[in-house]
Amino acid sequence: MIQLVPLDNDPTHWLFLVAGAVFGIALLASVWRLVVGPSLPDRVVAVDLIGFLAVGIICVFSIVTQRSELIGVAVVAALILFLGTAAFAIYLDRRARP
Amino acid sequence: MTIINILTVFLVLLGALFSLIAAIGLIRMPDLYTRMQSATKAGTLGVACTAAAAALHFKDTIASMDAIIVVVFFFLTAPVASHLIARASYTSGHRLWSQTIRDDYAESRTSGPDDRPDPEDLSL
Amino acid sequence: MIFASNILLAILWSLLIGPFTPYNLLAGFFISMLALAVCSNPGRAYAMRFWAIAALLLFLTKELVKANIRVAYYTVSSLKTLHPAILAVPLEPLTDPEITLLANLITLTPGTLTLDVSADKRQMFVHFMHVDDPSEAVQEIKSGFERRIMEATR
Repeated sequence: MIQLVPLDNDPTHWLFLVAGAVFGIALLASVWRLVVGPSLPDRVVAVDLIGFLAVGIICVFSIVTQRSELIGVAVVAALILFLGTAAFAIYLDRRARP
Repeated sequence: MTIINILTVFLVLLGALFSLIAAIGLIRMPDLYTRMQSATKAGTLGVACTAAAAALHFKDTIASMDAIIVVVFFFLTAPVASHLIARASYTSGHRLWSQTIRDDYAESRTSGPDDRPDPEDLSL
Repeated sequence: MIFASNILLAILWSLLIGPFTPYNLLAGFFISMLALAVCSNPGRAYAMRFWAIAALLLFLTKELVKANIRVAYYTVSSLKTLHPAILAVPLEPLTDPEITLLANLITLTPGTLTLDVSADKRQMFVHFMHVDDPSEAVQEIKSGFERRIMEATR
């Protein structure tokens, strides 16, 4: 069960939730591009942005729930994201040449 | 309510705003290259701001160091990744938008042989 | 190279002197910079180059903020007046690491994206999100990032 711990009862707590909601809207927008995107590179860019937003959401979540160990997850996610994008780029390049 | 607290909230909101701009750009922009510009760059800055906020927020050093590593890592890899995708999609024949006013790259590619390394050669 | 040894000395300092904290690391960085400035070979002093690197970082931050505001404006404004372009930026004779750094910095600032470097390393193809005057845009890169990188690395 996830428990949202208020930051020492400070009144700015709801601002973090607003930030999380904005991240969520951005995530939905990029999923729309992932579904619609006319070509493969468009979809790769959309996946890239989704990964960025995931890292951002992890950071916000770790602040809101006061769990500092989640930052390690963000590091690993950033690492894998770059590898995935580079692999897709090599695939595109490879596919272009007969 | 300290100054660090205020700075954290400000950075998180700024990061969320940049991410929203990135997503709007991803939807609105007309072709792949402009789309990629607004998506990856504004997205990088958005994530970097949020991770910097996490670095400020957490008191223990290891978590702060991890967050700083995220920031540095994004600034190092995001340009490389977007350059790779852009060049790969140009070589695979992805066309530019109709309002593009000049393309020096196409001219240089048609003149002169393609002496770039063979993609089948995997020895890095 | 000398910058790497500076970082190494700073880490060594903060490991030896006491708790491994960012403040100790920063103090070690400046103290080792002083030591390297004293015993570096004649020629351009290392401390001078350090300030050139600091100036480059400051310039990068400024450009990042400015360019992001500009791209945010493009994103929400009308698309009818947007004119992207791929321009060839002529390069000074730079070494490979310098070209890598320049390409990365250009790609990092929103609105510009490095596509490729020509085979003879004298031209770089940059995609601009919006161009009013092509020669002015090229000149902006040459007098901004390229000049500062050359000051910082040689």
